[in-house]
Amino acid sequence: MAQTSDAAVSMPAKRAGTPGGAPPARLADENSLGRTTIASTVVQKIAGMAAREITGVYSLGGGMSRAFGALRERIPGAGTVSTSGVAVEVGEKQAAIDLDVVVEYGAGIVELARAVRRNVVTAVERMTGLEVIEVNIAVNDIHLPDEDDEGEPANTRVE
Amino acid sequence: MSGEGTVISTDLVELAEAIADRVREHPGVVRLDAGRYGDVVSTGSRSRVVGVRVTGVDEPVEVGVVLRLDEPIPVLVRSVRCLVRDVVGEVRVDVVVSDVD
Repeated sequence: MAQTSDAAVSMPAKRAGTPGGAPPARLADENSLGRTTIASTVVQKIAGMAAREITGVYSLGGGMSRAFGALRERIPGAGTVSTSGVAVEVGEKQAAIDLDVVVEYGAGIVELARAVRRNVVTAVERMTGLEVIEVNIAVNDIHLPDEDDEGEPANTRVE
Repeated sequence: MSGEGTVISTDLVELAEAIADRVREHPGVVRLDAGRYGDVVSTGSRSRVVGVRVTGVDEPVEVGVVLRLDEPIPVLVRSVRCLVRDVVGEVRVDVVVSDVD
């Protein structure tokens, strides 16, 4: 395809057929070199890592996402343990991210959410080149310092 | 359009193998991958190349990769695309990043 357009430049007769000699590329094409597709798993992993980096984030997941996480793992190529609590929508140029966060007791949730959002946007935009249009953060649970000491039931609740 | 079920000639399978070998040499590539739908493959009568789809001479090529995140994905994709174009020439090279490590 790219070759026909290159040839068209040197052959005026053919060029008339394709106005301006433009390759019949898809709208989403950045250029005629080819299209880049980034799987949603990739964005999930990067967003998950970036969110976990923030102090005050105890874990991702909790709430409804545990149920969805179980469901997601049945779909090939989507969802592992490391991506539970992270849902993404990935388009050709943009990504939208939903996070389910369990915070540490004592962390200022508003500031925490702001820091998470900033880190996730930076990481995903730098690493994937996609524009992040939104990061929705749901704080589903709070991890209390004494929860770990209470034994097994507490542990299962936070994986 | 040739789908994943199409059997290609031995020459094209060899081309696909050459592309696969070249892409695997890239330090940022962990492995080749057939993509989410398993359709980024080249199937010959006797062999199969996973992670590279070649449909014909001078036709667009598609490669599926799992990348190591040492560098931003666009940078890695650009260099992978260059490697592929070294092998196949001036055709469109679509790159599918199916996972990262």
